[in-house]
Amino acid sequence: MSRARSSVSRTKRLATLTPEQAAQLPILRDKWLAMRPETITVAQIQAEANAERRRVLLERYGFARYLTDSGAIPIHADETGTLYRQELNGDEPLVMVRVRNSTPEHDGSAKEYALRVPAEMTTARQAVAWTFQQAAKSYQPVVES
Amino acid sequence: MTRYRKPTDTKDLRDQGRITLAHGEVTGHHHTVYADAETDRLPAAEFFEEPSGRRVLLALAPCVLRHQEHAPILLDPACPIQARQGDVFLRPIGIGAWEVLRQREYVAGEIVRVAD
Repeated sequence: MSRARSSVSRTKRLATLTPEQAAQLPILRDKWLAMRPETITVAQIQAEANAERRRVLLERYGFARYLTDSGAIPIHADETGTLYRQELNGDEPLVMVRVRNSTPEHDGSAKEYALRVPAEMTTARQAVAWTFQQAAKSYQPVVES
Repeated sequence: MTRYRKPTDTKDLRDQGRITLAHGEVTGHHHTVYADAETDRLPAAEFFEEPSGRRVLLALAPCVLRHQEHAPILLDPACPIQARQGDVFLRPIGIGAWEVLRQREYVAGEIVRVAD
């Protein structure tokens, strides 16, 4: 009981810290990021020297959101989607393909989502085909929905 | 297209005749095969895993792949075509037979299945 109360108390104290205060406490920094991912910034991700920590930051921030917010440049686009590549210091590049659902939403819009693919992908078709364990040439769906 | 030869020692993946190719862990939505587009009648089809791990949909009569957020797809065993419904891809491997593949994603050194 007392342990549970203590844990809640610690959680409340942590939640009241500002990002600046949390950053001063190395032990708390990771907990802070886990609890308050909305405080993570693009600049913070790019400045993070530790590749493993940066990976966690990226994951918490959201790969697709990071691509948009960091101004990543598309390197290829075709009817299957758009391929983005972002170099990361000391780590493998972040390569993602953004695709669009074939079936429109009720309001007529098309839901989009992005998937991370291996860094050696160079075309959107190759990347989408990879997500289904296919080679670019053999990925030729006749019907999509 | 060649005839598909079903190997022995396959693992039946049907649930009381119901064929769900993929189930969304987050949304609860599912890609399920029915006899038609309107009713919940069970299809004349099999869904199993080969000893190699390959998952196969074997249709004996036309059936329909349905999902809550995607348009239905007619599957004709006489003329199997490549079809994609969201994160599920069907690759023809013989008359009436498709390999069922789930979409995957690369995650820093490992590969994970996409969760919708």
